[in-house]
Amino acid sequence: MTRSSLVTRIVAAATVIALAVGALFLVFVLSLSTLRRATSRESKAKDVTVAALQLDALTADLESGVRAYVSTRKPRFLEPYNEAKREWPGSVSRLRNLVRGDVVQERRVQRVSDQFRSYLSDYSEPIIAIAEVAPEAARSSESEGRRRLDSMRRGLLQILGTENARSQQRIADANGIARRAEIAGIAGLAASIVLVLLFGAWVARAVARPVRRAADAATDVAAGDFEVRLPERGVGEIAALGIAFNSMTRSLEESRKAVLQQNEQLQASERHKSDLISMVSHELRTPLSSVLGFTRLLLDRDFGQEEQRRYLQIVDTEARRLASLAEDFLDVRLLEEGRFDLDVEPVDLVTLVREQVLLFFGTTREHHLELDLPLASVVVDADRDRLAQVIGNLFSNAIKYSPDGGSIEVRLRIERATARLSVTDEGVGIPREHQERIFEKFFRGGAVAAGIGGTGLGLAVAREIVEAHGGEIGFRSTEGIGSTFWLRLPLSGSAPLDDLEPEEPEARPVHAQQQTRR
Amino acid sequence: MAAETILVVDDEPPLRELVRVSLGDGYQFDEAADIEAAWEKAHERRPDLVVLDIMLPGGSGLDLLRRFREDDSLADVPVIVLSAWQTGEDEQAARAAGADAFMPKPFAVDELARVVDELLEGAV
Repeated sequence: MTRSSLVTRIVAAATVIALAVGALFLVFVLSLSTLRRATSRESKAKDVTVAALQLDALTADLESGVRAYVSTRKPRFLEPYNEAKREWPGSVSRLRNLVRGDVVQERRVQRVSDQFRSYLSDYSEPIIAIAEVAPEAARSSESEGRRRLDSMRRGLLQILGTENARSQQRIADANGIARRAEIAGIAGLAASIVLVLLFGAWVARAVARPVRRAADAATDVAAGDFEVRLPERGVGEIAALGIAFNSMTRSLEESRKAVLQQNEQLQASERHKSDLISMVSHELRTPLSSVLGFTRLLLDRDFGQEEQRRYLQIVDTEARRLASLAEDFLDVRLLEEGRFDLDVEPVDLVTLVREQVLLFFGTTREHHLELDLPLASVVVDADRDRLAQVIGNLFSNAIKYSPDGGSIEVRLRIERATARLSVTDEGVGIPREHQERIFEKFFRGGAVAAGIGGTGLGLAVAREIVEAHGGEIGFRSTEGIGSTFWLRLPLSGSAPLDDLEPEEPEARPVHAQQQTRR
Repeated sequence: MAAETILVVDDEPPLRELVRVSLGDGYQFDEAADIEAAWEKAHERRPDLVVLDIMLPGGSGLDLLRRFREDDSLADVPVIVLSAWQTGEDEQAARAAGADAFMPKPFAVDELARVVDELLEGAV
């Protein structure tokens, strides 16, 4: 499709129409001028006829004058003759002027003129002279005079006839031309009307309809339909309008999508925030209930010393839980601000793991612990408390997320100059759709619905701590079968993990491990 | 007359102990940490009253409550629902599931004792 401009096309079409109308007008004007020439030729033919008839009348006067004089010899009868003789040369020269340019007619006029002169010199003048002396002899020559005059009159009639025939012909020609001019005029008018109508139809199709369509589409857009599109074809400006319009609606649509998406994100973040607030509130309320409840009981009632001690112990534990929650929230703030102050020293992971095992697995009766630790110490450079926090988090998760009990395997190994600790449970596992998000802070997956408490902060903080130590943390999990969380730390004095090989894919899937263990 | 039996369902041992100590020595207590254990305990010995937490591992306390209400022997046992989710919706949901009383955590120990007395007297 050519993209020639609308203006170019309209100018071209208008030029074609103007040229066509101009050509028709030219034909019409030419026809009219031909007609005018034919008319002037016809009036000249009439003048020729008049002049010839005048000469014919003069010829009749010549003859009747001569004949009357010869019969009567009265000079007054010679007056018409003399008059005719005087007028003849003027009339002839008028006729000659009229037929000038027509060779045949000129010759005929010349012959009539010659005949006239020879009639005068060879007949009429001598006869008039003879009639004065011998009238009889003159009368006998009358037939000669008639013969000469008849010949002259035939010549004149010939001129007249030819001129009339030509005149008829010219009238016929002029009529023909007039008819043609008429036809040309009507045809031209009709052709012009058709051309203008065609042009109008084309303008309507090429311009008015697309503009109408654009107006309708714009109305749709105003009503909120941004999926409306115009055809991107047609003449230059119309195609450009379509392209521009479509690009406008596309960009409107994109903007709207972006706004909707933004709105959704805002709503999601709003929901997230309100979930977060209610979760924090929930996490605070549980230990707070024990603290407030036992405090009130201790204040209001009298208990034995042993009981008092026990309840105070509970208050202490639960208050510490609150303090640790406060720590977690503080950690999150530090995490968000990207600053962890690590108090790094050589730490024996074996000892640290044993301590945490005692702390966390001392209370659970449902879980069976399988502890697999090296005999020698495994020393890493770390912040002892922070690392204890991470290990404790993995242990508490393993317990929390296997509510039905089962084995929990804790294994520590030295692999390629790194210490690798793994914790495997036979718990609920992590659904595939949650796996990407479990290190996000406040992400709890299905834990809330499953009634498992927590803040959703543990793993986020753990990852931050492990990475701050130059190590890495990861997991492998199958929903309904269990999870393995592992962390790797560079051994004391070795390079951070970035310079080492990444974690190799585990050879055996989690469930296979567990089957062999059962 | 034999002491009335109260079933305390909460996954937090300190909370169970708090309920027990708050209500005093006048009752026999059964305890459970999740809804399946609670269901079993309730069938071993029919409780005269249940103190039930909503958020439990393995399922909501309200699910247990609904099962009680559909059970022939447990349908009319008075149930006090405890919840750390302190929202109006929670209380509505608890009432709809058939709770006789709703107490947000942290609760006042005297208030709990008062409500328990009321419910047990009403049931007699």
